[in-house]
Amino acid sequence: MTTRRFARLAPVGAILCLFLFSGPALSADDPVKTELSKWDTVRDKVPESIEELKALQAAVKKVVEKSTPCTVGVMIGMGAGSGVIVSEDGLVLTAAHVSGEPNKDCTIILPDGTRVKGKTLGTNDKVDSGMIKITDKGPNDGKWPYLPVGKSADLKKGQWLVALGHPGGWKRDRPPVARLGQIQDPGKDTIRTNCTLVGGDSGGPLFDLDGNVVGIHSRIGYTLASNMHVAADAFKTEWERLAKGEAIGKPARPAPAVLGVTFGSTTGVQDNDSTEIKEVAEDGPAEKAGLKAGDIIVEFGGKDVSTADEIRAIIRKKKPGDMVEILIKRGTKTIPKTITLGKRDS
Amino acid sequence: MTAIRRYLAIAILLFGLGSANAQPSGTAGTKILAPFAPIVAKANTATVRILCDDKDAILGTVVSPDGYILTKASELKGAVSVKFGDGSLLDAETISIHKPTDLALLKIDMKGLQAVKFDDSKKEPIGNWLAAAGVGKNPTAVGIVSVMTRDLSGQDAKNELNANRGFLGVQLAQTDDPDGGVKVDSFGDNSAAKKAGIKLGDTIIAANDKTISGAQALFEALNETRPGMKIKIKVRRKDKTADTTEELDFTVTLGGPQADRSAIQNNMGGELSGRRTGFPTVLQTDMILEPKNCGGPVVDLDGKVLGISIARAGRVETWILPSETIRPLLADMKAGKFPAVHTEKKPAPVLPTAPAPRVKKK
Repeated sequence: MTTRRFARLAPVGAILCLFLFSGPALSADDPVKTELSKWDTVRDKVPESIEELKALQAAVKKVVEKSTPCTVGVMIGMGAGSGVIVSEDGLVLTAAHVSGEPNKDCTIILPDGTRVKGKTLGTNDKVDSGMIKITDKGPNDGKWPYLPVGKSADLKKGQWLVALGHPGGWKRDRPPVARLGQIQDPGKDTIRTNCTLVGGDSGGPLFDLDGNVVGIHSRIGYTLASNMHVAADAFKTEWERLAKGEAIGKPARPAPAVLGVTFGSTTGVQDNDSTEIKEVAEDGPAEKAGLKAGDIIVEFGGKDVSTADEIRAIIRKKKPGDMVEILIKRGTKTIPKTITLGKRDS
Repeated sequence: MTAIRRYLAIAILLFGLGSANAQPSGTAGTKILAPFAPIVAKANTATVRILCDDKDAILGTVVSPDGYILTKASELKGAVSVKFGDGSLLDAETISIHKPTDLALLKIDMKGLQAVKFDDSKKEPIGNWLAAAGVGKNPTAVGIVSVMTRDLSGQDAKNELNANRGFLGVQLAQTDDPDGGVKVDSFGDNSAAKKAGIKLGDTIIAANDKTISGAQALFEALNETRPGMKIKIKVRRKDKTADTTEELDFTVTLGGPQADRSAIQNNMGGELSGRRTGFPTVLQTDMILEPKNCGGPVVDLDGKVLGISIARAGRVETWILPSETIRPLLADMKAGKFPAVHTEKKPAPVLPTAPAPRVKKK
């Protein structure tokens, strides 16, 4: 994940980096015993008896069993996060700061450790929602196991939830790690719970006790009750745009402008403390303006400059196509030039 | 990389502000504990409070009626005594210490104790409730199985050091000096050693007047320290141009570990156990168990003892040493296989490079 992304999200709290996985054993419930009372999945109170503890436990285990196969690890470049499969053709919900830029290759790690290929789709930086598409075929006639996405607006404070994810990043022989908690604050775009999260969980799923995906792990605050998840509804309102690969809420970043030179003495090594041009790129903006190796730039865009970094700082604020007035020293002469800045190739 | 640092600085600042209105947390707070009282009742009778130099240190698990108690070894120091529910206090002798599991076997002069019976843990499924026994009526904490009992040997690099120890902020190298010691090879960010005046190339030869033969000896000397504590470091410094060697003393105010993002996040949400890595097998739970309440038995809803809580290991995890690991070990410890009394040790071999502290890649 890029440093820029982290920096951008920092004001909201700590960003999580992630990883997850699966595979619980079935418990043999004694069939002779009296039936377990059933846990009301929207109940907002704590269990008050052993019987109620057992009922809640049964509901939690059912969710874990069903959702573990669909909870995945996501690897993009050096970054590691989590995600959850929500369609039979392999659509994965994750966090925007995990998936990053649209249309990039990534690796999805299934609960059994199998790695499959994926492509990042859209992101919404405002809420930290992201989508990925698994490009490999699923295991069941080409289809993927998947989980339904619930309605997060229906969540109530106190309601019990299960979080899965890969805290600390995906780890060999460790399935997705389960955590139990309750809603602390059911927000429209962000849900706060006390299901504890840590770096690596980002993008992992939050489930209600009916097994619906109701949130995606995003970031944490200082206390153990400050675990923030992107609300499922925030995905739904932008679903089409995310699936199409749009980067929503990202300020349009112009391509960087370039001058087409390297600095340093023509006789010595690269030197950032010099404004002497060492090399001029063929067909680049500087060459087109008539600059040559050995020229020393003394004024750039109306400012006196004495180091290459000063020039670079000015260029960073410009767009490709911008015209810049400069003054160069060539031998004993001082010559004014006008340069039209270019666009970086790749 | 600088962008990441900047981000960290901002994030920490925000967390710092957040802590001002910190709220109690953990699964449903304390209300959830009450229905577990009958479930932990039996295990609580086999749980004791361990005191070190008359201060609350950790919990212990009574493992046989004739006075044997297991606890977390790395938390023990000074005079060890055992406190019972009725307030009675008994001196304890440390019989055995097993480093890989961080278990210590204590013996007290008492018979007829309530002891736990260790049940199998490995089939306990993800999602099952767990309760940590304590010395009161309720459990000290509850949570669920996050990851079933698993083998960590080979994965969790063998690190039996106290993660909360003080750090010099140096990377070490083997010295070519025939007189031994460890060479300071590079400094970490904000290096405590550098601030104190130690230079690259210096050879550390003593810590608090104890001779340092190699890296292992230095780690052992640091293991009982904490960030902020002062340590006396003696170095041998060679002046190549003048071809002289001098011995210099420095007082180093120890720092913390090099904080990477993962360490910062794991420390958000409460104190962690000192020794929290290097265990061979663990059952992982999301229960928020304070480090001082580790060492006691952990049960499921049927009251089965699945193991002993061994470490608050991170923001999202507490680790339980499973019964399957404890049972065979207990017999060996009782038989005196891992004596606690340190016998004369040969000087430890000098490690080629030191595993800690970590220095961030530029």
